[in-house]
Amino acid sequence: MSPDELIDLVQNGPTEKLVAGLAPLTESERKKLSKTAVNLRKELFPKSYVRDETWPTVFRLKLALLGVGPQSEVQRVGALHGINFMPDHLPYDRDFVFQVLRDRKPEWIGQWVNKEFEDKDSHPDWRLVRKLIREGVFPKPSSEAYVLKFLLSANFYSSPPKTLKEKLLDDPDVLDDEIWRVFELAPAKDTIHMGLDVAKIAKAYDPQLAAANSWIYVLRDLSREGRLDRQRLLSASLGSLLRNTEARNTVWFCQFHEFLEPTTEERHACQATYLQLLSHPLPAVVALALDALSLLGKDQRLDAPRLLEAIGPVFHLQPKSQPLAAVRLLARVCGANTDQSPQLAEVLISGLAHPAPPVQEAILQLLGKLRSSVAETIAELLPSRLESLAPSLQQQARALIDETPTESPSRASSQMSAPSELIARARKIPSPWREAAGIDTLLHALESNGELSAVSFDSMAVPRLDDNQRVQPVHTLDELIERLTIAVEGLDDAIEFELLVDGLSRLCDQRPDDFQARLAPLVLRVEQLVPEHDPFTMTEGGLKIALFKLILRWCDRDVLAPRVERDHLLEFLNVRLGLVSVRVRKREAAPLLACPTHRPGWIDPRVFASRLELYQQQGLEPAKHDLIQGLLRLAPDHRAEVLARVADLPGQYASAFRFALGGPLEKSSLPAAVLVAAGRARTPFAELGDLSSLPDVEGPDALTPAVYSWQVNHEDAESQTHWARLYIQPGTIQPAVIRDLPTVLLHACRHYAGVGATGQTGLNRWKGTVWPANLDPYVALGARVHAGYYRQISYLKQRAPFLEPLFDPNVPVSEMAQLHLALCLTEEAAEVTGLAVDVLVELIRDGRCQGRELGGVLAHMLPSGLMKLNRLGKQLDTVARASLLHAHVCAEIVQVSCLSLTEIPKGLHDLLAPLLQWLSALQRGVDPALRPLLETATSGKTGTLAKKLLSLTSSLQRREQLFLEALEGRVHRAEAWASAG
Amino acid sequence: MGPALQLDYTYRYAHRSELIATGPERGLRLATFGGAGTEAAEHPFFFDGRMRQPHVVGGMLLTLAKVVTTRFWMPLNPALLDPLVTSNEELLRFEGFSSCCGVYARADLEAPTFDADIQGRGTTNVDFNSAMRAALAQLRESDVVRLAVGAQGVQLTRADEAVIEKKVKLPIRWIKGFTEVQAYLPALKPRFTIPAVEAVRFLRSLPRSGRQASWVTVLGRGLRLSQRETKDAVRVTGTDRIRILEPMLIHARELRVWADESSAVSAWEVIFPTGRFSILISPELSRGFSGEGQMLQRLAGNESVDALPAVKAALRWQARIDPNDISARAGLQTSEVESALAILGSRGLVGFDLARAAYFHRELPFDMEKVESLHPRLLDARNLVQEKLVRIVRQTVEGDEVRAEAYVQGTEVEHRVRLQPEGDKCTCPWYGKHQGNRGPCKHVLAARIVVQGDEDAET
Repeated sequence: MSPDELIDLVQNGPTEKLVAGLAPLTESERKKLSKTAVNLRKELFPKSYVRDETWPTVFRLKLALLGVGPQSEVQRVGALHGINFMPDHLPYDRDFVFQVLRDRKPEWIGQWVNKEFEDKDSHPDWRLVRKLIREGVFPKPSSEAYVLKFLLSANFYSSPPKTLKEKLLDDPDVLDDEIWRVFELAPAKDTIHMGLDVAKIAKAYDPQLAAANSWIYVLRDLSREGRLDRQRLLSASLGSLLRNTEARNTVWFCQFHEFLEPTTEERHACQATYLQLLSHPLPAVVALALDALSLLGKDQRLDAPRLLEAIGPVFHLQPKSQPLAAVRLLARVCGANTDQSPQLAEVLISGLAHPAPPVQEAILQLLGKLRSSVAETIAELLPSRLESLAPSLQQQARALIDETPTESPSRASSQMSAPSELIARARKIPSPWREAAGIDTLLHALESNGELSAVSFDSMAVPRLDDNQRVQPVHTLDELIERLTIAVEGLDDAIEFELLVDGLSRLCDQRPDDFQARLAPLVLRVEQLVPEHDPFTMTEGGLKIALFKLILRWCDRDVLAPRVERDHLLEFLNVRLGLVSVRVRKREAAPLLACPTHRPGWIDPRVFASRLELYQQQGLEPAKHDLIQGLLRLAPDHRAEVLARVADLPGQYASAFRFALGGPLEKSSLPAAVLVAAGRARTPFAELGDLSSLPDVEGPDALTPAVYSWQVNHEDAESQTHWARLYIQPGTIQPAVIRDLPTVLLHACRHYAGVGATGQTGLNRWKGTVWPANLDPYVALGARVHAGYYRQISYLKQRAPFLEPLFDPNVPVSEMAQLHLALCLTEEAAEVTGLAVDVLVELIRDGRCQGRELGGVLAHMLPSGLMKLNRLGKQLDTVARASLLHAHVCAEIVQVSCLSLTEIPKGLHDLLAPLLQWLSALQRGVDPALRPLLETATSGKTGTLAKKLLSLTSSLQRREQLFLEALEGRVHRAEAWASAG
Repeated sequence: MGPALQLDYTYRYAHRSELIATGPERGLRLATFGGAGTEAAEHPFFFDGRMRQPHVVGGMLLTLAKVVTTRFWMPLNPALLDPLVTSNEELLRFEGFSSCCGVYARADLEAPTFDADIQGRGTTNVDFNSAMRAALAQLRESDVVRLAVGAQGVQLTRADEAVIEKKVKLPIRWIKGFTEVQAYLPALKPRFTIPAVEAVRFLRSLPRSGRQASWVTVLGRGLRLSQRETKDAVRVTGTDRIRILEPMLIHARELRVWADESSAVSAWEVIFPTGRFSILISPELSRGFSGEGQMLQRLAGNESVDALPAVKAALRWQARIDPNDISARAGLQTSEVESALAILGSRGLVGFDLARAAYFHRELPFDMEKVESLHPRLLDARNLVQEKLVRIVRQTVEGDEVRAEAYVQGTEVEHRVRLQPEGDKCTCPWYGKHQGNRGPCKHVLAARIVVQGDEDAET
């Protein structure tokens, strides 16, 4: 064949003639024609073959390349595939491809074919592949990929349409080899068979057809017809389970094995493998093995000694159902045989490492039955396991080794001071801190068998400025540029934001020669980040948007007129920053009045006084919004001292500062908003009687403190969309009237879901710095976060920042805080629940939470059915592991919350199970008020747990330890106050 | 990834690694290829002996295999790169990296793990294939299993076995990861040690997709994942990366957690009666160690170069390198030796053993000079220097302290770089995002090269 003939045949056909012409060519003749074919491919189809009208030519070109081309071109052609998705009318003829390859049989064909199988995106024409293998054109691949492609091939369309069974029977050789190799697969990434193979049949439009295309049914039918060895199928399916440890590749094989309905005899033949599978890491596989062994056990055909050797790993599984099944199996198979009792006891005692109390209980019960024959083994091995046993089982376990219960070291805090030393420390703390921290009350209760009560103190009467929380202002221009460079890349620290604004405000007059060069990268970056024509508002882009605008103004760049913030509190900030930016542009350096000196947002009154004095010296007028914000951040510390210092301070706003510090109301000609801010700084929680004559001052936390009430919405039990409604009195009014009153604006804040949530955490944190003396409006804002219509978990994650202030031990835990905490404890997102657990651990440690208050809040919510009790139980159980005190408080929370129940709700066992453990650890009986409810539970898990709870009795053994743990937290708190005060 | 960031590499094993049954005994035959050792061989033979606890060793190797075949960040197409094994008389160490380069895993099998002495000394690649991984999962406590790393007298071509060739594109970042981790390991300090039972409870409590930063803290006798940063808490992201240890813990004695506050890197070490398995996890799930650039300063500069030849000459496949011993022999200060060892770590010639707090000799079987030359940030920095785009405007030297201010050309603007003992600064977005936590930016590197002088740049 000449090159021209080849070109002509490719372009014009007929295909038969092309194939016939290629057949007699030697390899050297083919090589000579290779370049022609490749050039033709480049000329006709430089990029892609995919053009329907060119298919006949494409097909012939492929044949030509297969016949004469090099391996690289053949790979490009994709000759093995292309048929599976092709409509019938296209001129693909498998026989032509076969003939060309058979006639040529290139030396690289095996390598090429294997490569095709390894390619995930390649779908070889299985019938062609099989034909080539059968005819010996290339050897059958030994690779995993070949078998996986074999499985995939069954899914492809065939013409005429055929069922899976028909396809397999068309090529019966696969029943001898490929089918069995499926059971030997253990792919790292791929799935062998989808687990839905059986389940989909019930839902199929035509179940019969679906079954005919289901591997599970087809293999069973083939075995029934004697075409596949049934016992081999049973063994092979178990072999696959041994090989595969990923769930995706075990579900089908488990189903298949049981689908074959093995007889006892067949199961007996597989006994060794079942025993091996007991150490499989997947619970479902272990369950299959246990079920099978159990059936053998019932028929008394189970090899008990080997079972004892193999069953240990079952107790390492996380779920409890397989370990419980293992205990039942052991009891049945080995329990009656005293020869095996020592080994059985060993296995059981090592199984006590399983953390689930029901498993431990089942093991202890069986050990109790064996006790007479294995007393020595139990006495030797059980003591080392006692520490990991559930508190409710300690007595039962100790009874097995005739040991008197002693105090469990697990609950004793290793870091706790010796009792006498701690009490002496407590008594040394001076008044009023000792009383304020509740130490006297606690010591009295300890001595008089009283109850633990929560610490209650006046948060404005204790030191709030913590030296460790002092912030670092910007000192130099270089530092300002560096910190701004970092902030523009991401800013969710509200204090750093204020410090940067303060830095810009104080250093805006510094213009060294290389100012523009130093600032150029920052300005360029800001310009890259700010949308040119439609700058974001803070509501949409977060705090850094405000920073961008200030930076641009600082560098004399034009800034588009800002849009009004949708959030009115942020609009207040916007106005405040607008006034700063005017000064920055004019290079009038001055400190920011409202810049915090301490986290989480306090200003030391001494520093505030210095700032006002500086303004006075420089003849500057404080900006009203900055002053309002500054007043609201005044810490309660050092007020009397500063009041004396600024007694004669002149200036328009000095009188407002004195009023905030506790001085008399000097004149009321100041703007109402300034006076209200001063009043709220002075008295965060009370009526501002002195200012009652001020006009246009309305809303919660203006003159009248906000009063909160809430109720659970029972109408939407399926979602938490609007779980509860929060009422705040007096009601909020028009934003236009309250725009200068941040304390009221906090109540008017809204959450914006979906678009614009970027930087939301930083904004929320900033809101927490607006009025640090009273965080109720802020925390209530957190409780109002709900999924809206979007039900976005990511949006609900915004609840987390509202928990953060509660870590401050001097923040009282109000009802709003408890409400928000309760919601967060049952949240789905780990970030929120985890933080809620962190908060509760701290609240209990420092004595702010004793359980009854939080339990009371939960009591309102529990009957609604909106709470996920499993989540609540899980989180409280984590909290309770911190110490005996934590267990006590969690027990209080659960018991008080259950008092509101009139009937047993679904899932109550999720709360009762940990309650049983906590009360057992505390050696306390259940709250008498809860007994009537528990007595109504008579069945199921709840019934069992209720019965156990009702049987608990109280002792005073742990009482002292409990009180001392509580005392430790209070002493720590009081000592901190005493040293700061 | 562009071709410049990959190395074409061919693993050529004499056979597949496999678990074969010979009578009642099973043999885990690991195929080796390349590397270096006391005796040059294309297929080194290091060890052949019976395992005392095959299920433990199987679990460790299986977990290692799982790490190297997993991409924790964006789980797509893992690279499936084989681990390395380093052998000396005290232990066999298997090391590997996850495909995302965010998890470095190592199994240290001490001599008492086996009933035979470890003979070989050196480092080589070892074939981990899916069939072998599946076989490892089947090892049981009661099995009698031999482990062979390589085989005596194996030639490339054998009559009865086909040569196994695996052509791979070795991502440069994957190799760089092996060197980067050596910069982190010495700084780690032990934080918590908890019994295996508590460790299981802790790992099971971890969220499956914990991508945000969390802090591990003590709770009772165990650990808890907190959402709040507190003193002594260990920061973690990507809790799936730690959960991978759980299956092994059932046979372990305890779990030890190591951390370094400044780098936010943590190591999780599972301790068995004989042997240890540890993973080092990167500060962020999305960040592999390869991109960290902690070694860049060392690669760019020429610190402790004088001590390098002597320290390098003292490497003899030691399981534990004693800096005092080398300093005594070579007449160097111990600090110089330690510094030189750190540089050798950056060049793939030593690794750091956390538990022993010492370096060990191990030579990565790759062309490390090429790897260094392909470091993108270093390349960029050298280009900036070569194109004279670094302008030093101020430089002072007081004792050992060098301070300098430079302007380095960026994409559209000149960046101001300040070199100072308390930490270098730059005005580029990279610095803004990472503040030096991921190594110096190219501008800082370029300025450093100009200020300190750079042999490579000059040549």
